[in-house]
Amino acid sequence: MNTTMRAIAVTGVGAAVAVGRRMTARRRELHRDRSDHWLAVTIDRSMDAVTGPARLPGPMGELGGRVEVRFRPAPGGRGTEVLAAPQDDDVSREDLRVALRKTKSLLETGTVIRPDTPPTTHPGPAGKVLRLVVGKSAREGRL
Amino acid sequence: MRALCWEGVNDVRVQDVPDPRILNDGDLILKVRLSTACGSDLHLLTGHIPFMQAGDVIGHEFMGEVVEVGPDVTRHKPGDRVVVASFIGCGQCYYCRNDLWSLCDNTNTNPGITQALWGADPGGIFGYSHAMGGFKGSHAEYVRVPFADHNAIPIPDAVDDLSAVFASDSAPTGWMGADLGGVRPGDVVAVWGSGAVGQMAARSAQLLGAERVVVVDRFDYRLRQAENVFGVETLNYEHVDIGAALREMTGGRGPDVCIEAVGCEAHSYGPQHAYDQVKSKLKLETDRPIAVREAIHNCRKGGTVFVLGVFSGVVDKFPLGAVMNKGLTLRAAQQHGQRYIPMLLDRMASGELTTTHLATHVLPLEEGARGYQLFKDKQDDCVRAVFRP
Repeated sequence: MNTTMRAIAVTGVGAAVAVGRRMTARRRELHRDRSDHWLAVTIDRSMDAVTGPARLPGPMGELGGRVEVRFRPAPGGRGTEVLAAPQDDDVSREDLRVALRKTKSLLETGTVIRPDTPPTTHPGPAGKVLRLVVGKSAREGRL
Repeated sequence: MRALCWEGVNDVRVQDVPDPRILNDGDLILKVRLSTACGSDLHLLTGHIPFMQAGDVIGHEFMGEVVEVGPDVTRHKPGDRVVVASFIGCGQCYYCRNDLWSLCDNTNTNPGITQALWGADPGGIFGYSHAMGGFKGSHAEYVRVPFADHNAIPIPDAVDDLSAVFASDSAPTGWMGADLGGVRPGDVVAVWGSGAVGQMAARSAQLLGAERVVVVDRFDYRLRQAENVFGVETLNYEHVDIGAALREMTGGRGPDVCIEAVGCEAHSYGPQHAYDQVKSKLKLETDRPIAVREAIHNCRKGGTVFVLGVFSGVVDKFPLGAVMNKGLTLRAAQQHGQRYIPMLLDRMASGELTTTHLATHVLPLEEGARGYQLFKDKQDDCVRAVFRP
């Protein structure tokens, strides 16, 4: 390899490393920023209906003082926005997200729909991989 | 019980599976009398929608008889004959209360998948992958219907089973395309696809007052059926330049409303078809939007394009420039069936809306695999294979 080729290769590798570091830093920054935001859900019920009882029903009520909860009316009469953030390291954002979603369903419908069980009797290798994804999907994502 | 299960790509088999049971107090258990294959099932069969497990029961367009109800069900009792909307609505969230039932907030039990894919989760659907809730489908002897007071609709005595089964999905989907596409008296409407949904969209446009309705497809037997049953005009894109024909039919303007009823595995010919095939095989695009491109390109300035076909991911060469510069309105949705089904059943009872001709092949459930083969390969002039468990 002559000197020019070596210089091009070194420059290319250096550029790739720099871009990779920058992308990683950006991802970390976004992840940190995401964790700083409150989780939020809109319940299609009035402020009175949502905040009237002593505490929220279902999983949000069970979390009690381990999460901070705020309420505000949704614009356009679209119900009540419920915002929540963990106050305890034992409460993950994923658990809180599931709790918010289930509590919304309880307040709107009186129940939480249960998935058909068993999902299948013989999922096969690909199905087992999908089950891992599905198991995680109930916990992560947007509200 | 016996049920038709997805076992892998292009592999469906009838098998023994556990009976469904009441899991929520608002559930009912339905003894399925008829359940039809739907074009969107083909996306599951071919692996376009990759969230299936071997053993999943498929099928989402069905009717039957109530055999058991949960304690919170007030509108139905055992023995009632009902048709069930393919999308499951809770009836009480913002979206259901605003008649946008397929967007229900509370019925997708696996919301993270579609939230990651699309930014938000639509409602659950029977037999349509774990991304859409993983509910068991209707190609079975029995099926559980959640939130039954909202999702099961009584069938008038004047409507027979074979008519009613298409009120579950094809008819409300087609009606929604014409309705939300804004079809008005005097309009010229073009529909891409002459399967059951396309024919229902065409008939709906007529009933909403369209002056001319043109259906585009490549299968002559389906086009003939649409012509003979509904009196629409037809164009076969393998023999006719669709753009030139539509411009001639509309005095150079283009159709006022263009409805796409084809979906993510659209067929075409020439370089465009080859391009999309290569891109989709290389997974550089998930869906082939050929009919959507044509609808946008041929729609009149200021017109509306409604996408009824099912798409799952990303597409390439989407003509956003045409949408913007022609001032088009682009709309799309999965079906909001509960909004339309009672009205459509009344129209079936009065004879305004005919659907039985769509059921070209009525088969026992045990012949489910053969039914899908006929349907997928368009054998024996198949429009729909309907299963009788």
